[in-house]
Amino acid sequence: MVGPSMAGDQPLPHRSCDLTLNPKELLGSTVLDNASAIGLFLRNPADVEAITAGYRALRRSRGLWTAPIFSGPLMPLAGDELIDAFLLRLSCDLMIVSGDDQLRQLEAMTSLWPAELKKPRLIATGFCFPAIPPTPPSPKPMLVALLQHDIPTHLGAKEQLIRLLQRWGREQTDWTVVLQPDHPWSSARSFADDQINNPPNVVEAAPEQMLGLLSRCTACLSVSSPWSLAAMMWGRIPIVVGDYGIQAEQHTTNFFGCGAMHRLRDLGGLHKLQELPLVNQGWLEAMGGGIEDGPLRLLISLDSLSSGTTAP
Amino acid sequence: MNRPLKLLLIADSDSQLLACEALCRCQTARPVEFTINVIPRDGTPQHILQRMGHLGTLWRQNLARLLNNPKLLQFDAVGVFLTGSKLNDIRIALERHQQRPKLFCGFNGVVLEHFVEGISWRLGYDLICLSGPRDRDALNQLVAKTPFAQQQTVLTGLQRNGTIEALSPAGQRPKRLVFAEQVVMPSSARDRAEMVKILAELAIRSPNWEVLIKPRITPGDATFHDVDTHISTTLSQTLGVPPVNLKLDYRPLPDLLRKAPLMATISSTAFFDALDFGCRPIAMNDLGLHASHGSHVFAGSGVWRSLRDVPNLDELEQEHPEPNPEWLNWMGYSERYGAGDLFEALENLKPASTTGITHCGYPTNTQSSFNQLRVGAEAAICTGDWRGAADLLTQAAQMRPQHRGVARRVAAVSCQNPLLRRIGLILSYRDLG
Repeated sequence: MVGPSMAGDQPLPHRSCDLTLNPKELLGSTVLDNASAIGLFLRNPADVEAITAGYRALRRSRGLWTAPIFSGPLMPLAGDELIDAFLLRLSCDLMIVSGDDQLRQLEAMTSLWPAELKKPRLIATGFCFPAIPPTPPSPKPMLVALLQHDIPTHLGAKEQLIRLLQRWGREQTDWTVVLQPDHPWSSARSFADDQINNPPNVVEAAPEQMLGLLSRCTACLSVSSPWSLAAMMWGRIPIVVGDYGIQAEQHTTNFFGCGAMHRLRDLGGLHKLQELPLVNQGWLEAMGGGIEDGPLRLLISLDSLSSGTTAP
Repeated sequence: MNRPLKLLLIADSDSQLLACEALCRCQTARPVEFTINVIPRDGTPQHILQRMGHLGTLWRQNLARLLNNPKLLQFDAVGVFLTGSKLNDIRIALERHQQRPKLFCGFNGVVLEHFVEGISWRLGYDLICLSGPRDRDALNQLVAKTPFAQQQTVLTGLQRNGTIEALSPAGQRPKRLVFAEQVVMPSSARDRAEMVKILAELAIRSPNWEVLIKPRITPGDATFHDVDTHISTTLSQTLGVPPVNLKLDYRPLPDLLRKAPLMATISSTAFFDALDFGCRPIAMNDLGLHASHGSHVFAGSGVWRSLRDVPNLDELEQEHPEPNPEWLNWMGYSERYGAGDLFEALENLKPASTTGITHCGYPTNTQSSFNQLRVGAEAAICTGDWRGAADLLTQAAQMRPQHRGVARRVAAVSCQNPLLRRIGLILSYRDLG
């Protein structure tokens, strides 16, 4: 595993890189010489094209074969976001998407494209977290609120959401409300403007606790965090906040049809959460939840690509 | 049986009006009486309004006045060609009536972006008009396994000009390439300058041809998109003095297309109009494959090609470029799809529902429009439903906590003292149109 050093605390358990290197510096190193396949998962997917072009040009100039390059968004996307993600990876040999829904949409879009227009082979590999929750749910009711960095986008809306969660916590002291960042956390800053306002049962979690808490929670609330899919997969009660509409800007288009979108004013408080339905299983499966052998599918596809034109 | 179908069409921006015009021009055996309400808006092109006036009764009422017009209920069906929350305003206003006209809405032309949001605004309409199988497949995939799976749709196609009489053969037309400009495709100044440069070079390589750029709007006209720099400015800034055979031409597009053998565009719906007028269209691919240009849709057209690589327009004309028929059908350009199907579908629809759409876990954008929440709260205030008004305004405040108007209104309706509440409501009142 090669990558740049990560800034800030990550929301996932720490895993060290074998080599800390900026992706563009890879081209000048010998790291790629013995790679059988290269996966590019970059913060800025616009860099994918430059790296694939550079890698292939260097290898060909030395008369060497080129390893298949694969990439893909690590979260299920829909609509314009999915199309953008695909177009940024046209130079790859293989693109992985999460589910059959994404596969169908991209295949329909490209089915009549001219043969000379190069495009990656597509496969669906499911989600990037385990299908089975690492721990059983907590016996005491717990809501994990996944707080996103930039969403909701309206000025002050995230703070407003936190104030509402604090109020719910005060009203239902038998529940624990966890404010959990779903993104790297660069400082020990508190979510709540005034932490004194946090009742004892409203707590702020450290970033690396996210997956553990999602597996132990009773319910998971989020505007559009892709990590809420983990809670959905693990059978927890999902609440996708529908107050901000189904808008690309809020990334809520990715959750259209999930069956777990609610307006906060309809919920009324924590005590009502356990009456809410689980996720629309048909939707979840089409988004990738029905795929259990994603890594195997990837390896088989890479093997077939390696035995094709790019093989030594 | 022969009673004419009475339709009201509601539109505001120019592209919506063009969609309505296409419906009105549909030649069908069924008698249809059109009333078109054009919501007053600065910059609506006068020539379109004049044309609309010849196709039916023309109304110019704003939404608030229109929704209170008792004549609204006398139509058999109301077609809404508006965007976002305005789609909701009309649907919700009509659903308050026990017996209401059937409601349909359209997506204009080729949908290149925001399909999911667009569908979310439209769910709950009795009928959604789509262009072709591409749109229908996408909608079906989106609503599959949801409570909206039964949403009714009809394909009205992209043959918007009906049968055109007396078209002259391409060989007898003046040697002209019409370029259908779009205001935001591409949107960056750099790409727009590049586009103009490529057209100028093509004009220089083809001295016996005219390259006519048809601007989407005249300077000062309004369209759905905000435009910073008109194409005439881009032209002069990029080229200084353009080649003599490269010109802007503001004549109506149909007039240009019927007298030209070739047209080009990045991704305009005019591509399909060109086919109606016997003009061969080309989708220009020189700016690459970008979703924001709509090029991912036109890449399958069979005529997505580089104008930079065209030696000259004589050679391009001799190639007889033809769009891929399979792609045309997929997009909706086929005699199989037309506005006649809409009229038939409207007659076959079951009586309109007055219940609206609410499914636990599946809110549409109907329940999430900031404007709709405010309008709904005002309706609740009118009936003295302070709790209902406070609920709606609280959600609006949740969406935009820093909106002072909403914050003041919440404070006013939440006031327990009737006198103070009354004063608060007077002080915080805003006309929402």
